[in-house]
Amino acid sequence: MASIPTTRRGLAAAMRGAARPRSLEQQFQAMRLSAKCSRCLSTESFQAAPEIDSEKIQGMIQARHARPVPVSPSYFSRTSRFNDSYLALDKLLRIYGNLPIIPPNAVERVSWKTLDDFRHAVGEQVRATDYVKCLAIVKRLHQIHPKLKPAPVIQALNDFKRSVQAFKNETVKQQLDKYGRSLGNGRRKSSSARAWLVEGNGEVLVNGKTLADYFGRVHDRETAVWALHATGRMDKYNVWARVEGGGTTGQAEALTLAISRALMVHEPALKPALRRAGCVTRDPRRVERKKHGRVKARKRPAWVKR
Amino acid sequence: MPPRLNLTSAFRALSLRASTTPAAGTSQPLFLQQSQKVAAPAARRFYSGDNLTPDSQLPQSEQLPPSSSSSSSSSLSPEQFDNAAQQSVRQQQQRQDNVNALNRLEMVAYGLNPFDAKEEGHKYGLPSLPLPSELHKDHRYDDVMGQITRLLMKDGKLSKAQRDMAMILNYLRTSPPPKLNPLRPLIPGSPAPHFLPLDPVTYLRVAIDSVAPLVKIRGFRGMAGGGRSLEVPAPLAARQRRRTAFMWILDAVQKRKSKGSGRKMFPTRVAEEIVAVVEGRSNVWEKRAQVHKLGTAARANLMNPQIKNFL
Amino acid sequence: MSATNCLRCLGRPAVAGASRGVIVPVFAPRTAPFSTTAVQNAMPGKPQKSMEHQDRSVRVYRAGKKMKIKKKGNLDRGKPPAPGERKAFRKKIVLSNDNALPVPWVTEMVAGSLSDRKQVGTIVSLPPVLQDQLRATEAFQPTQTWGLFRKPSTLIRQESVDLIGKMEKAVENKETARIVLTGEKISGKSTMLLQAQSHAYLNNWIVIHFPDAQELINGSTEYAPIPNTENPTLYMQQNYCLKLLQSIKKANEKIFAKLLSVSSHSELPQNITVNQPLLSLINAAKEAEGAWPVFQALWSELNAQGANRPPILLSMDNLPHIMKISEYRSASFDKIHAHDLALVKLFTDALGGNARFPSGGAVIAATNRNNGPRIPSMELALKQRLAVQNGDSEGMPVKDPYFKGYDERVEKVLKTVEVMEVNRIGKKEARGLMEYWAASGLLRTTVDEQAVSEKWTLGGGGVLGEMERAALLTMKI
Repeated sequence: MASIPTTRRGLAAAMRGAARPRSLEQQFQAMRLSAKCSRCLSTESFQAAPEIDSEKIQGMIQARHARPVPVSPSYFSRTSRFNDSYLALDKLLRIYGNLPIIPPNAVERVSWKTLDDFRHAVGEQVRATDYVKCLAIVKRLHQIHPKLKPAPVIQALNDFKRSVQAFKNETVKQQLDKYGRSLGNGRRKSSSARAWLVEGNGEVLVNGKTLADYFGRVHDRETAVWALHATGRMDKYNVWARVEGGGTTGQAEALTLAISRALMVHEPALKPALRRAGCVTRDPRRVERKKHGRVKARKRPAWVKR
Repeated sequence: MPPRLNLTSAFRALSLRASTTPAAGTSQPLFLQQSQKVAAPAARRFYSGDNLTPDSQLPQSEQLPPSSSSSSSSSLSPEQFDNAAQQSVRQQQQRQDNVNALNRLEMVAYGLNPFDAKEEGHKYGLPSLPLPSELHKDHRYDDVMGQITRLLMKDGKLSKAQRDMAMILNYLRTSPPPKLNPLRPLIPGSPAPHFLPLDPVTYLRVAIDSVAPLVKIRGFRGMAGGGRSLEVPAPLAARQRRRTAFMWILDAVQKRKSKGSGRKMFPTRVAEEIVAVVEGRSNVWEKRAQVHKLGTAARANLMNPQIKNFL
Repeated sequence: MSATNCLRCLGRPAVAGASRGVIVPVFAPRTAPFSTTAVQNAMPGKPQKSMEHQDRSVRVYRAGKKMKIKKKGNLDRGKPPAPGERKAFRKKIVLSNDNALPVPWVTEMVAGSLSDRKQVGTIVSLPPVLQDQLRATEAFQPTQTWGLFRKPSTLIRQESVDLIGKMEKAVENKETARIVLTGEKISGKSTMLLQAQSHAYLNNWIVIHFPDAQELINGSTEYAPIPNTENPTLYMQQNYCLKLLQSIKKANEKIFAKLLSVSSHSELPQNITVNQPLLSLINAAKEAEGAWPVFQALWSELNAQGANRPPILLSMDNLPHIMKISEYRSASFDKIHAHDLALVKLFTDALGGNARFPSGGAVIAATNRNNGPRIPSMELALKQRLAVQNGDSEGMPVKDPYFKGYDERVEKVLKTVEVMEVNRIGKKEARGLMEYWAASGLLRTTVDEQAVSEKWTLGGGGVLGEMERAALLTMKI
């Protein structure tokens, strides 16, 4: 049994019986008309009441006020739904806590609901400390070996999982198409580029023009095909690329990224070399926005006398 | 905990041996014998922290026993079917595949990438790593060239500065070899003057490094008494020295007379000044001497108690 | 009238108080009701912090530093260069670099070099005599990289062999080859022209070369109407003519010394009679004044049918410039069409097929892409010619019916010319070129497949000038 800090033990003990799931019929019966006007809460076990005979009852009813009894004892607490689920989890932990667990690094990664998400889901102002404790139980239960994990545990944990599981996302592995082309895209500043790479003899077409036609500056031409240059593949591939947006530098560097990504589809083993050539990382820098009270992003207005 | 690295290196060596020796009908391949011996405790160690039942382990360990048993059965097969040579070849092939697969599984267990770059993932061979720095996109030019080009730049026009730099280099390539002035010795280790023109980058480097000052004079305001500043020499780093030298050269270029017009004119003037520096005709040498003289004279100020906290 | 500090006035008519007969004391200057700055500034008795302004009569608020923009003083760089010196410096042509290493395998160009198909991809150097001749006709340009190498040398390309072949064939048949060279920017059109000239000089042709068509039409030389020409009036450019005559003389001196005149030219100041060397005819033009008649006489002598004349090469660079309206004006201040200039007319007539050289020759013009005007009729005509040459009658480009800028005179000239495209070079030629660069010590890498392919790609797939830019005009040396 893991040593999970459960300071709510007392509360749990008090409400143990109430947390048990009941059938609809039982619930209905719990709301029976209390003939004796008993004020005490039903705590332990509910006896199924005998079937109500309306004729018989007709004469018996003397009370002027009928009062339904809440389904859950947590009804009168501040966060009843949370308390219910907390108690349920606690009970599950007590029952299944000694099942074998797997080491933390082998556990399937799950993104649990954040506090805000959970508050939104249950519609209650759950306290952060309580939610942390609750999540600790959740994570402990999640650690139970997947093959032995009982269905109620799985069901209970589902309430705490986010609807979108980011860890399940798999990167789409790019592949060559039937013509042996690979596609890579890249961005830089406000340019974006797509490059198709096919085995060939070193011809490059950018927006339908040759490299020299498209980039007047030799530096930009070199930049565009840097991935091929750095790995010594200049005469091994042909490039057909579309670039749009931005200026020449941005377009050239967007092409670098696009071509290097396309190259990594052909030859994944080149990634370390390409990284060292500076062709893998996307440069996230953009133009800094202008601020009010400034002439440009940072430039301050000149001081003017009067 | 036994060191992991030793084990992995051992495995690599073993796998190599297993692939070279074609397991000619002998018992188990050497690799498997070894791997079972070593892998079993390793697997136990992996789960040793948790007292779990053994059947609740990862599928990886589930695959291990059948493959090892199949390989042991195949070790028997050549004795049983001696004549079926073709089958034995196929089985050898299978065994080899098993060996490879097992090898990879072992690598996975030890946190290694089974699809190592050395094995596959390329078509035309891999470049040797680490790449030289000039193959990095952002460091493609010589470091001095990069620094100086940016010093040459006006209004953020790097492209123009680079074109100017290329023209400077071409001027240096076509100008006759410099005639050195013995009074203005170049930096030690510089090549003979007739080698310089065909290596213009070195030419430029030599020129700049030769006139680069070693110190600068820092002024501490009001510390010399009477409102005067206390002048203290401070050493410069290599990059700072080059910057100072090239800014001096650019100052001298401003004063130079322009002979022609057009876009070649500015680079021509800079290049002429660089040739003048190497030949010892430039005023930059005097600036350097002046700074050094001042630095030498002011070095007593280093002992001033007031500035000790600043240094 | 409302007081600015009265909050209740904000939403009321400005004369509300006045209408009620209440006298509103005006104790503060009026400004916009939402700002208090000006009011506060104008308030008297603002504490003075500055010690300098003790005199209360002079109130200085916000006395601070003035922004001073330092003006860079004009540096005194001594006497500026004399007029024309700057241009001379800019146009200076250097043909050798003593630092560059001599390349052992480069041979000198001989008469048959450029027509030898086996020599494609090799580099040949220009012999010194030829250099002088080419210099005289301004075939070298300052933007080309002659000054980087030991000796001026040129790559023999497939196109150059083709071009020379056409020239030779024309001479064999005593015809005139009329060729227009087109191609991409810095793909080697002018160099091709230079090679054609080299071949002509080495084979004792007479070469008349217009180095830059722009000079003829941009209004930079003097012009005058030729008397007795009507409809259209032709114009002569005597200064340019003199310059041209001198360059022709300098380049073709040896041949002109041998050639004799076939008719007498009594209209010239120096009376040239029959059987005098043509050199003396050219020498007759001493000043700009009589240059045009001399040029006319020379042209008629060269074209004299039946006389024993060598083949003639008439060439012009930057062709598009002469295919438009010139900058010159007629007496009625109309713009003159370039084809009404006599020198241009002479060339366009030859290009259009009206001139017939006695022992054949060639008229070659090169277009330019970098600094040339766009001439729609010329572009269309050249495309059409190319389509005809390729036998591609379906893909023949047609005129845009809604475009008015076509020029009939241009189309007439280019109707029958032959168009030659100067293409990109192949990797084999690129390799020869790069090996030459490396052997000269200008390319400091090993020339292998990798390096050749890289420069070839950076040069836009083998555009020669772009390859030079990528390899020779770079910071990475």
